[in-house]
Amino acid sequence: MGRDLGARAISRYLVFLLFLSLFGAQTSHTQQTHPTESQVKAAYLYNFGKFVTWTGTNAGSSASFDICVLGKDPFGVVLDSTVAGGNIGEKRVTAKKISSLQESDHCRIVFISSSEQARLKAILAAAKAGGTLTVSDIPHFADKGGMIEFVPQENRIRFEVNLPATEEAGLTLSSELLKVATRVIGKTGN
Amino acid sequence: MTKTNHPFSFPAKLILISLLSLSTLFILFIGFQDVMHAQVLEANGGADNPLSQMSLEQLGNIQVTTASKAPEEVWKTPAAVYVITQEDIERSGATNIPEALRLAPGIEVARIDSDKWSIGIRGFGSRLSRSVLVLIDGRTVYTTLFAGTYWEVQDTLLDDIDRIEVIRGPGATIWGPNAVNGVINIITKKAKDTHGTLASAGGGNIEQGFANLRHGGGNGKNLDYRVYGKGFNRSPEHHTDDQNYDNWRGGQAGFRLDWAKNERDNFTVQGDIYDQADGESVQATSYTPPYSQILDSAARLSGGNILGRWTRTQGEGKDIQLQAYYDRANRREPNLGDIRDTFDVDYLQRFHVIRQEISWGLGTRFTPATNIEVVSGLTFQPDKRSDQLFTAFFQDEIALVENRLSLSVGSKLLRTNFSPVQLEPSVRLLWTPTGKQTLWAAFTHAVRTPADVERDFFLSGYIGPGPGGLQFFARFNANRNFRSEQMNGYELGYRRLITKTLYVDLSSFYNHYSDLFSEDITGSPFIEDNPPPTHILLPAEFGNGLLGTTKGVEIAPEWRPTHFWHLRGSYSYLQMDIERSRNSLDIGTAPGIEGSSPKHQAILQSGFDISKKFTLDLAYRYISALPGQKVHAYSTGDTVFGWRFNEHLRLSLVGDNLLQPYHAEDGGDPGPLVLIKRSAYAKLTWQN
Repeated sequence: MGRDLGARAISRYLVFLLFLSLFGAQTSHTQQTHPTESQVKAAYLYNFGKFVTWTGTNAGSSASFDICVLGKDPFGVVLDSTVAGGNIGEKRVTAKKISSLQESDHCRIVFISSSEQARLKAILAAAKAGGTLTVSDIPHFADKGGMIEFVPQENRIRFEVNLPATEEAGLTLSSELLKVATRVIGKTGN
Repeated sequence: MTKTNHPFSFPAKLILISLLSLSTLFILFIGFQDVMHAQVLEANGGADNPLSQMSLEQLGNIQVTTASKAPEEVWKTPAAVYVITQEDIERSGATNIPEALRLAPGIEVARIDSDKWSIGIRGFGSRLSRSVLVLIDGRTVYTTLFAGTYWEVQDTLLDDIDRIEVIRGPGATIWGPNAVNGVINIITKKAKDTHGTLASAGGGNIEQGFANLRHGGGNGKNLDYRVYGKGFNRSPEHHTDDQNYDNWRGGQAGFRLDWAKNERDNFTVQGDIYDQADGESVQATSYTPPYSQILDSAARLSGGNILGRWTRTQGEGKDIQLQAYYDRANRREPNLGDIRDTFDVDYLQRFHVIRQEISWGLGTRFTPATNIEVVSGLTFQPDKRSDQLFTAFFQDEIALVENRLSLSVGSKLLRTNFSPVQLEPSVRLLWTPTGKQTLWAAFTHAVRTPADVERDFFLSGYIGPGPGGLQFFARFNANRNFRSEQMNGYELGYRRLITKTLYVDLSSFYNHYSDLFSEDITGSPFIEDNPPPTHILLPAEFGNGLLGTTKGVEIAPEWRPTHFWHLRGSYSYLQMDIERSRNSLDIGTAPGIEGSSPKHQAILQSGFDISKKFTLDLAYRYISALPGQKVHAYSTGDTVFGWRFNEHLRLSLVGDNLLQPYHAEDGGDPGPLVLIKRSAYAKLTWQN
């Protein structure tokens, strides 16, 4: 009995140690493992700016290229760090947090958080008038009139585009962007 | 004090302990340093951030880890739901569905032997899992033979499972009949998500050999398909009497076809066929010598199913679904034969009306079955019967305060060919005070309709030699008056996203049961001529003589301290109080029922993504004693080491039940307890 306890305790401890040693086995880890959803979505937002042309009067109004987040912010520091130091056209890219559509006049891109789901209709109507690219991960966002909807697909993030919505807001989306979208509403056959 | 032989002498032990302590401290120190380093790296970004440099196409190809496991569905459900994802299944090393179910809180999974389990949700665990509704892609896999699920034939390619939703408590109104204590909903991936070829094979000491093959494709637009085949051979578990009867082998094949005819209509056709040889040991009683014997032989189980579904999305939250399936199950066991066909059609519609989401549906099921008598101690009368079931449901989900407070009211309606119309009303309230927490409460009335086994079944047991040279038997006679079991369930739950990486789900319940299945003695022994030869009979029947309550709590926290380390746990507490009702003739089965479900269950899982190539998952689980099964409390551990060679090939090394050479989990077989062995297997998977 004593012997069993000794051996068993040792083996249990070894299991625990193995557990801990993996904790220590992380070295230059972040480069090798999977990024989070927020990081990929932030990278997308930054990228979209390069493939969209703003043709409305709002186009030249701001000194910076603003990517805004409306509602509960799921990005935190991630969006700021993704855009830091980047330029689109000749404008500095900045990330901003806004709490109402009124503040979105100078936003080129607005990401609508899922916390705003209830006010979606009003938000989309105002965004169309303002010539802002609306992006969200709210389910069926694109069907409801949103411009770009993030869709998870098997642990990857893809997106769908609502073409008529972008046209109504005076935005032109590059064909390169449309090619990568998993679904483009408003194109023939969709 | 006796001198025992220690393998480590005292000085050696001292050195060993100091070495271990030093290495622990060292590792903690390194680990701490690395976490700080990792956090610094994460905060750094900027346009130099590699992600920002990627093209849209590249971004769409990156695999992401989700920050929290509170998907939309779970968050807004006023019920105790737990979702086991495909990744959970893969990283748990489970080779079949019951083993994957261990990951969910509130569900008791006890392995009886190599091919049988005793499963229950919130109590009443048994081989038969009577009060739990199990569905695979909308097809009910419950058998009307004894109102339960034969887990050994519920199988599919585990890689094709998208998720398993485990709902503890009476299912939200829309689920089918007998969802009294819970619903297990197994959902497979859509055909468009399983393109390409997947081949895997492996073996170990108990999982002696298994192979899986799947191929999927599509026309690139709206038609996708997959076909699969699998085979396995599993050796017996540990028997102290060397009666190694539970060898298990089988094969299964199936297909799925998905057609998106237009943006509104979707069609799916899927089917499976299987054939298995399940080793079992059963008690067989006969009125002729040898009266009672244990038969060890392989049961032949085979069958198949085909299911078709049409979904039409009419936009704005309106949709309709029509589904029909046929299922055939053949069971040839050493003491019984059963051939069962099931025809089922269901219709469901959902639509929005000012602040309300209304769903309603109708379903009908027709089950003709034939029972084959193998031993005279186990007979059905009539031996051919057709069961009919009619269900309807209605549910209204009212948004009292948009996105904050919602009330669901509804009811199921159930009618079978041997029970009158029964209503199962349910009221649920969901309150979301902030975007990070929800509170829900529910009241449901549920019923478990009678099964063949209660109404048509004659089960005899041999007591021994009796006076006058006659043999003494007891027989449970069919009870045509067996009523449905009734249950009133009260539940309360709370979910909270404490930080972006820490989530906790709490559920509590109080269930009151009446008219529970009991084993009643209905009279004094008497001499009987039929079946011959003349013998003495103690008459009994299955009655509705028990009642009682169950109450408990389930806590399931989930924490991602870093994005390469995922910690999960769950603790379930269950208190069962079952007793005889007034005027009950039950022989005293209540303590056995109470003692067959564990009071405490705990599981702790740790998932490490060591690097892009290596993953390590460790699980520790504890189950408290089952006095009704003569099983002690046990704790054991499982580990899965994953090695990805390249994007096509990966290896898994799995070790199960590692902390002891063997342990008992449940006593469902006749004879001594079968002990579940420590096991390991390796699996190689190739995928393109």
